[in-house]
Amino acid sequence: MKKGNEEINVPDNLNFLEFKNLLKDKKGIFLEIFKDKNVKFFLNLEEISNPRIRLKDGDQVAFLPPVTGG
Amino acid sequence: MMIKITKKTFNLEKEFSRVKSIKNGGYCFFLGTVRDDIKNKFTKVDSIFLECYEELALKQLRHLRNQAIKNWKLNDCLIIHRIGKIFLGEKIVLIITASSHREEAMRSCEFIIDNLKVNAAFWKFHVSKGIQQAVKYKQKDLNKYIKWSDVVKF
Repeated sequence: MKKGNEEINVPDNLNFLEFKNLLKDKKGIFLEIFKDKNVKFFLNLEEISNPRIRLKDGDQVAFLPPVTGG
Repeated sequence: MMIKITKKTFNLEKEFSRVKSIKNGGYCFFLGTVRDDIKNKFTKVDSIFLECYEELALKQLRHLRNQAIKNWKLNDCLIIHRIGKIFLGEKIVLIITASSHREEAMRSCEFIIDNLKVNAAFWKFHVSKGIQQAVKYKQKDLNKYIKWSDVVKF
């Protein structure tokens, strides 16, 4: 899994679950990412607890593999 | 600056001067360095490479610092985490906790490093002959981190 970022245009009023489905259809790599139970999802630097949270213009969504600092 | 993510190394005495105060009766230092005995499946590791999601990592470090200060009533706390290529023996991470008494400084320092291991947006890679391999966290590190949830409620 590589680090990177991308700006994506999506339909208005999408929730995070719908956004994930859209990404899965767009690129195969996301299928792999979403299958991994250890990946954590963040929205504007906050971990997502409600997958039905609505996304708005300018939101930053991140998919993070397990971390190893220190 | 009490929270720092940097590609450069740091000077211990200079960083200590940031938290030094006559209010403190004790300090606890944790300095993490690159060991020379790390081996992957094939060969000996000659350096490590650290990546981070800087915006999130800074936010997490600030939060950890605030938690430690609040929970152990620390007088001060400093956290520095390096990123980029770091060679054997070099410094990776520095935590200094400062308090009136030693116990608070020591416990809070342990809390911070246990969190950094598994709960901050850094990714470590072993580098051997130019090839990078992602490092996975150890179960024992995860267990240590989980234990703190009973101690720190903030």
